[in-house]
Amino acid sequence: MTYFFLLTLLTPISFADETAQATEQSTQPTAAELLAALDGNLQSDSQESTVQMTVNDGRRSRTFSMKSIARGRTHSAIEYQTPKREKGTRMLKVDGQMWLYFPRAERVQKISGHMMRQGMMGSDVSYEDMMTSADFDDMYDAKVLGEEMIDARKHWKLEATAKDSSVSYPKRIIWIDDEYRIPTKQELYALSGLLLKTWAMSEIKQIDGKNVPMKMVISDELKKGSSTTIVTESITFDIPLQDQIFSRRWLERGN
Amino acid sequence: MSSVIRLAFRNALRNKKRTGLTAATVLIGTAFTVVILSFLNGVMGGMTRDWVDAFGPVRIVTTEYAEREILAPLHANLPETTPLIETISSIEGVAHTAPMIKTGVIVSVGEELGEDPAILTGSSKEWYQKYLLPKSSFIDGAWLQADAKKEQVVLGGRIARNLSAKVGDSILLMGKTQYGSMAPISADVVGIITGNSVIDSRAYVTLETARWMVDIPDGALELLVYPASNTRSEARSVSTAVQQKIGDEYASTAWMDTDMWKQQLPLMDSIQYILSMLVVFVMSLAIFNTMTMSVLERTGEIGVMRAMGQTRMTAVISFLIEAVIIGVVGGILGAVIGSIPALYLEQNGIVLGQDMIDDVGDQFAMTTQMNGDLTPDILATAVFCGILTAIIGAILPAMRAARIQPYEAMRTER
Repeated sequence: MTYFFLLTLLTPISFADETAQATEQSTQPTAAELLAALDGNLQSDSQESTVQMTVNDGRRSRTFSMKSIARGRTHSAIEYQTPKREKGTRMLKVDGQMWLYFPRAERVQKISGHMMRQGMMGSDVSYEDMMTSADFDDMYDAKVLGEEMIDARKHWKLEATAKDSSVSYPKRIIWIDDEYRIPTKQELYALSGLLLKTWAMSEIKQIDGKNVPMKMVISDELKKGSSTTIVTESITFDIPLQDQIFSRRWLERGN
Repeated sequence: MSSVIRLAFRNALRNKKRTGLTAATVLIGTAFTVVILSFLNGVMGGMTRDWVDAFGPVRIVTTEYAEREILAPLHANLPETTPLIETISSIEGVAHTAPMIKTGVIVSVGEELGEDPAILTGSSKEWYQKYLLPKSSFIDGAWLQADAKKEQVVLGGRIARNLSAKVGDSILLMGKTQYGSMAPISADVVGIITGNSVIDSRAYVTLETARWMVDIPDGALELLVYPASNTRSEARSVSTAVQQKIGDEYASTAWMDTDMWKQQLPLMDSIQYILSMLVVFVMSLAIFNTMTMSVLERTGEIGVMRAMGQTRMTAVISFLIEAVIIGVVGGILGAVIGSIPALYLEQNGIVLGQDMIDDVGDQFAMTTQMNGDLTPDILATAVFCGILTAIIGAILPAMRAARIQPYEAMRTER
């Protein structure tokens, strides 16, 4: 999984009807328009990337490098390259199911139950965060709350409310850059209204006609001082991918 | 004085039936005291000793770990144990210091991650040899082999039962590193051991394997310090000495100063105290009754003795000596007779169901067999209680006898 894959899981909000509001202010885009633009930037048929993930727990930090391949939203594969301890650890997500391969244990393990809420490699991104992406579009209603300036740039502020309260984050507040149509900031809330995570995206570059944030910072607000920074080193879109990549054979053997 | 003692003996033997009944009451009470105290001593003492062996008489952790232990803060570890062990070992009264890693893992047999939790334990070979294996027996298999090519694990009996795991199975132990990453170990089950509820709830690997799992290459989460002597005072004094030597960065805690034992020890002491007092109270009532009857029967005789110049004090002493005679005879016989079931319980114990032990978990070190432990201290305490009880029971009747006026006795008797 790359940041790009992570990005997709955070943004696909289904359109809430707010046509009436839109007509009141002609310059204000509807939630549907904003999300359509996001999809255009963040989705691709396939992509391959190399990313660095730095996990800072408030005391120390550790950096992982990994290679990620994804096809649509349902298929993704990640292989850790550094540090030495994690080298060869692979993760495969296919149609809402997730497996990990641990080279030392020489074992494939399906991730389910409470393990889903664990931070991936101790990061602020949980396995559940990754899993929810598959049918994320259907999970939220969204409405535009207004516009705000962040770092002297115009943003649209959206509130997304889950249609089903069992989802990981029943409510999200999203700030979308008006020009790039990228969610530069998100706040993810629990049903109780407790802020669980914040998710920021920056260093936006144009790649293959898409606005791509090259850096993301995720903070689990329940872990004091904790943050995870994901930096994209390289990314390529719409590349041909073989089915074998998303298989158990790849998981166990790589390549 | 000798005449008073003779009088006391004569009075004791005058009504053999009543004296025998009183002595029998003391005997039964003393025997009960021996059985109850020895059983409690065995059960609670055993639980305490097993717990102390498993968790250490004195435990060293970082202060942050001590403050947030409930959250299992693996990052607050002891990164380098060798220099610390050398420092602690130089302290007078320290017999052994061992590194210890205890961390929660999920144990799975198949590909799907299970929900069976266990405490993964990794310590030095010496610790296992000295403090674990002597308390354990093998249900199947053997201990971890040195230089094994593949990872090995020995399972506690409860974990093996929950997993339906057997020797030869390959299992997955899924833990976390100190950085929060998943840390899986695939290991062959080479042995299954049982001992007490703590031993049965854990999975055992080598220190190196445990270090890899939590990603603390040269360290541990705790150091367990074993003083040369097993007394509470020695544990506390070693803990204090260690704390002074290693500084405030670390927390040194004697076992009885842990939160759990600070609550449990007074409770356990209270149970023993209350049971002992109950027996003493029942015995005192019986003695009181007998002595009161004796005073009433002998009112006239007491009056005559008083008229002949016997002082009140002599009258009191006479009755108290009679009570001591009954107490000594009843107490010694009671201790002897009580020793028979006490020794039986020491040898054979009471067997509890495995389910009951499994439910206890790893907080208390309970065994499936609860044995008594009869010690000379308990016998001495029981005999002393018998005698003391007899004296306490006789005080009021003796004082009543001392208050009898000669004219009053003459008028009411015969």
